Amino acid sequence: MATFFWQGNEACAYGAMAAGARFFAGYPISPSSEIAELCSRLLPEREGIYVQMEDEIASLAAVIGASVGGMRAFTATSGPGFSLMQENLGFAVMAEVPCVIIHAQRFGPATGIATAPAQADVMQARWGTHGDYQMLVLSPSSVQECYDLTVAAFNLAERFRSPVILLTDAALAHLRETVTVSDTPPPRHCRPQPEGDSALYRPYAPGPDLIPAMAAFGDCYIQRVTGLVHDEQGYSSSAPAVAAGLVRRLQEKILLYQDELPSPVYTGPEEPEILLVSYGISVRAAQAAAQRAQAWGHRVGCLRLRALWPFPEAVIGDWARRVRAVLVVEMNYGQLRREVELAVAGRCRVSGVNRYDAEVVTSGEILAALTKS
Amino acid sequence: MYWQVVLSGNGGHGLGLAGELLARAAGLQRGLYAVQTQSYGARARGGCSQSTVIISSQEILYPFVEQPDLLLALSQRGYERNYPLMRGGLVVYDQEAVRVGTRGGQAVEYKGYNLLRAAREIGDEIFVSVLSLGIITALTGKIGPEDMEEILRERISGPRQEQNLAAYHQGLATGKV
Amino acid sequence: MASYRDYLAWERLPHLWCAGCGHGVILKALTLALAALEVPPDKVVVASGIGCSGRIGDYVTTHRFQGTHGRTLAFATGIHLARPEVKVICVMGDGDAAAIGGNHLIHAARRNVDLTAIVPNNLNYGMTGGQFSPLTPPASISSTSRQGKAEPAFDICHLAVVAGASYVARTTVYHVTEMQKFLQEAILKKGFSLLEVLTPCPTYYGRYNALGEAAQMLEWLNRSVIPLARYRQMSGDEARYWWRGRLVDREAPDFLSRLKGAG
Repeated sequence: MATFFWQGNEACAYGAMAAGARFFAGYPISPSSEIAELCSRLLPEREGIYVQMEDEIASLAAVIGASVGGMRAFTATSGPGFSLMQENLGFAVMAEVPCVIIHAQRFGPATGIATAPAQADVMQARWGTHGDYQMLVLSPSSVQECYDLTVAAFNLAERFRSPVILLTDAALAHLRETVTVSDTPPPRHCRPQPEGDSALYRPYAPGPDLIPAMAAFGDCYIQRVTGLVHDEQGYSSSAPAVAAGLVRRLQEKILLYQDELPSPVYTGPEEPEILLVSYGISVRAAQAAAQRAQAWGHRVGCLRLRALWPFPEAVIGDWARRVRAVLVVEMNYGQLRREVELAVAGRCRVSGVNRYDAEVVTSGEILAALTKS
Repeated sequence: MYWQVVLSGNGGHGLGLAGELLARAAGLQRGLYAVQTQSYGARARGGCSQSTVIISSQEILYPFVEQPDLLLALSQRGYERNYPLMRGGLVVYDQEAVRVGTRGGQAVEYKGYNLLRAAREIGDEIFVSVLSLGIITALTGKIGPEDMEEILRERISGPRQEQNLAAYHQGLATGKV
Repeated sequence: MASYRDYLAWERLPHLWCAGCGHGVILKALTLALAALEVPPDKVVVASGIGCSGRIGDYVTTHRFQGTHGRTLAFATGIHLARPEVKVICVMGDGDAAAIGGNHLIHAARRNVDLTAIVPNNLNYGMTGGQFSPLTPPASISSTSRQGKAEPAFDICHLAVVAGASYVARTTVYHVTEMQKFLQEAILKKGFSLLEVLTPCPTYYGRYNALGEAAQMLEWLNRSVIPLARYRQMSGDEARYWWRGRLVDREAPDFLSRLKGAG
């Protein structure tokens, strides 16, 4: 066991190294640049590759290319760069290419405030690229979790053959905290490998859990990767049955196994009256507020979401039966609150504590909202 | 203990590093919890710059300073921005750079020094941060002087280590008076 | 001895390209070049973009990658860095390479990534109905320039040269033997190589500009292209002609060598 005093960005970079990432392609952007800077140092020391591309479109493209070449690959960016990545994010979904995108959210839209935090890209992470798909999105709320969930993101990417987005924010990216790292390397999930006669390999034939075995370029198994609707051979097709089958499998390969994602963590009294639901850096204020409210004798608990997408609808729905009100704490105008409302489905009251002035939510603001609930 | 520290001044004062040193000395050396933040980007390269540290005997839920217990003020702006948040504690300020007109609450103690001038005499204004760390270490007793020195030696290597250690010891001596 | 037949996915034929389109000729020349070089199909990736030529990957037995529009070289950079022992051959049409992918082209050439870029230039966007591209000659009629294209064109080969490519050549589908020779040279070249291949689109460009059927278009291409050496001696008249030949063939460290050297 070793302890480090890392920034959120540093913890992401070291987490990626621990997860076996050996390829980083990126483009400098605040507030994620420290990840690129650190990777440019750490990767060559590990026989890995750091490449600085001409923009974020190219960055994710190079990451996808390296992943199909068999490497664990990732990139890091922020709002404007994440917008540019949407194109190839959809490609990675369609072509089922494992990769990790670390997105340190900053204040937007547009250039916004480059160094100020926000949590306003939650919906963009879910729906930013066109088409019908599921997206895997994790959200750490401490520097320790930046490390742990980066490791988890790589494993989930390999497990589901899917891009995984790690949503941090400018405040967490630059926060320094103590991180504990185990001496033994974290368990590693690897993409399923083809077996048997190479002539019979079909690049997109689903395995038992709907995930196709993935050959790398250069293997004796011929790999065909495309963003077009494709049949099991990887050849393009516009047949309605092929299209429907593909979309259904892309959805179900994730939805049927959603319970493998990091589940929400509850802290607080056994029978809370009010539940604070939060994610990312806002969790910290929510937990502090819950603790103070408990000290004053109020039954307030805090549910910390670690995976935002697919949304833990069932967990929220269960809580809605047990509490009087849910308060969603987030640094935007109310993006995830709507999702919580859908899950709650009228079983209790839902309101939001929202901050959108480029500052982190404080426990005082939450306590003020609690007194109204 | 729940100790909230703001180190404020201008870019080039080395406050980011000072915050990190303070947090490491407290957090890693004594098993306390510590977190640190610093201002970022253009602001750190001139103009207003600030680093915050929280040191606590319990797990730190909210990692941002809400009510400073200690304010290091090396610029007027840094002082103005932070003293209204204080309800007690200590302000360590540079007597040339900061004019303490309006003061914080009655319980706030003030200690003025010629920090920047002393740093320049050592060789560079950037030594002001480590000099101030020495003063803070001596004044508050929250951090072990040996712990701080160990972290300084670990974190700052190369040709500037000696000057930094000299600045630190000068600060320690100044703070003890 | 390898045969071009080993590289063609016969069960996928006939291809989807129009009668008279030159893309099939390029496909054949590519398979001939690979056979001549005896590169095993599992050590080749054919990476393509979007548009008519982007479908080339459907007809080869090698590994295949078809990315998003214009980004082929960026994907290919990642593929190459991960698997440097594999030959990555990128096929991008004129719109793909010169418009939406223009920036990636500049930077792939500047880095001198060990890739082969084939640009089948049919002088318009064929897949979407014959709109003009940056490489469409000025004054040409297209579905988005009914009165004649108002914009100038540019020479993608010269662009690749000044950006830093190690090998740059241009030919046409009329000059099949030369195309195969250039392809082999380009594939063998360590560093970034670009081969532009002028190819007829009788369905749109030929029809809009009254250049006749497939055979007549081939004749027109042949008349419009002169050897590089002759082109260099000309003055004033150049705009009427395309040159063909090997523009640059030079030695420079490729990207991965530089990366490894720096690491």
